[in-house]
Amino acid sequence: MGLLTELRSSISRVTSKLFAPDQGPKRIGIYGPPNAGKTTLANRIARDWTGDAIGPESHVPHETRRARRKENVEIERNGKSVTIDIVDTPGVTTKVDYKEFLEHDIEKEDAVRRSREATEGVAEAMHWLREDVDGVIYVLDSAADPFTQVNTMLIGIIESKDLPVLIFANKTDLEESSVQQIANAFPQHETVPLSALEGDNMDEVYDKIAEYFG
Amino acid sequence: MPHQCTACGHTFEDGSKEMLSGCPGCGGTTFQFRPSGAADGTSTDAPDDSDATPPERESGGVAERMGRTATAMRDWMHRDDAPDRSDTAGAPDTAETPDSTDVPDTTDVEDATGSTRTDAGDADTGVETGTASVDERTTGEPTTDETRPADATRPADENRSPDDTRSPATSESDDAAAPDAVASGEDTDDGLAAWPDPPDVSHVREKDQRVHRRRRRAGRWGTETEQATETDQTTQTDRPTETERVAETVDRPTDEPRDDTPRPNEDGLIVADEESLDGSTEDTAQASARSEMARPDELPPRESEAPSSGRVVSEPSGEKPDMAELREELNEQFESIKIVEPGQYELNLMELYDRQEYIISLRENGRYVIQMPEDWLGDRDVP
Repeated sequence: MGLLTELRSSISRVTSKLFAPDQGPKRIGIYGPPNAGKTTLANRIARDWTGDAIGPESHVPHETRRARRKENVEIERNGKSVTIDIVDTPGVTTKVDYKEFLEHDIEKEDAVRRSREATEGVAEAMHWLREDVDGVIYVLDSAADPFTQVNTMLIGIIESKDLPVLIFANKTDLEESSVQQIANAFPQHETVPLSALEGDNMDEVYDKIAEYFG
Repeated sequence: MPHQCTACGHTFEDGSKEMLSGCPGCGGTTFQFRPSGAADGTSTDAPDDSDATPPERESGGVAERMGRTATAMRDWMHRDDAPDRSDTAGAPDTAETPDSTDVPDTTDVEDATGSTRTDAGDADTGVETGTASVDERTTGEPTTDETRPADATRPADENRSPDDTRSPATSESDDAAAPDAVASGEDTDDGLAAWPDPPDVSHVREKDQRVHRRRRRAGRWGTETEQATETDQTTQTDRPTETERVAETVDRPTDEPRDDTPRPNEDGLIVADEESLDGSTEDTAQASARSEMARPDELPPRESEAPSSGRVVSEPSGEKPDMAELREELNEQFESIKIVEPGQYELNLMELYDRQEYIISLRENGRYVIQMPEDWLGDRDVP
């Protein structure tokens, strides 16, 4: 299967790269560590502009284990419209342990399966980052420490690719939320506070999306 | 240390990117480090072996425990001195299957083999996807295994080593023989069917480990029989390699440096093999088999042979890749997802990002599988 499939995928990769820039909307990847609220944000954006959700949200980490895409999300700002494809990616981490699922009343067998899928999901997210996104929305839980290896590494990769990136300090509805801490962690990028769950500050979110990815 | 495709023998220079898209010659995705002095003959053996080799996942604490367990079991089994020893570690799984316990007759053997091979098939999947099927493997439910068709795909040629001097019948049973089917070995008919359940069964299951058994090939006199115990994570992965190497060293005994120092968890194994190589330790089963052909005094003197045999046995350990070194090297070069144990993974994000077309799964026998993205990404453009 190897050669043919490889060839086919190479060709499609090349052709998509040849034609993608001028055709179709930009593909914006929503990245971040697990449980930062990526899917909640993706659903919020998709619901606001298309009426459909992208995927299930959950408190259980790694709920999103496959990248999900919502195409042709048309966002209108100041009389102009920006059309993007949103890719909600699995949370990126350097370790996946089934035991963390056990804490969420998931049976071991299922937990191990989830763990495996989550691992594949991370690999998939990295794949999208490498080949398939034109811009990145990096979502962080503003109530959590942003100084992590994963955040540093991913932001570094994004910067190395010169991709436009917005840092979203999510979960501002939480008491412990500290947008400033997020902004301090990545001063070279614009940080936008929001609560995807509550829909707080979404206007600014859409303004920035239109500005950065339009 | 160049890489070598285990399917066609094509070699690649160290750090070659060419192989990362699969072998250009045959499309194979399983490779091994090819020691610089390796004989060409080895490469021809490799494909069969590698294909048949159940993959093993990364070693970890559990893996080491499993390795020790397997060694202990192996020693224990060795005392029975069956030429066709079954994988000790494999016994646990098989012990539950009715077919596996006794089995002189071919059908039974095949049954047993079926279940065994399925196990291996699972393992292959798991390893090759880097992550897949971990759960299946860890469930360790024999019933599931038996229903799987994977056995059909299991190559049965592991035994085709130059060393394999056994009679066709023996080889065949060996081929088909799973660890459980061990009983199918000539001598097992009598006493060995009554083998008590291996004590490690519960141990193994507690660890949620699926022990993968391998068919082994028997060397001449039936004493060089290889038992490769393979668990998903066992550290004894080198056994298959060892077998190959044995063949290799037989041809060119002086080519490779010797390392007689057994590894900690292989102590028993190596000692056992040496023992069995010694003509004086012919067991009753062997004696029985041999007596049909020749009287003891008709046997060629073994004194002269013993040293070379012993060397052959011990040499493989020297030729085995140093797993720590190999792992480090592969990590450096390729490895992006490390399976610590089922359900526990460590991810090298930079590797995943940089060389994302593939996931390298290192097996404990020194072989590794390069997983193409199509295999693990599936249908990427999901809406």
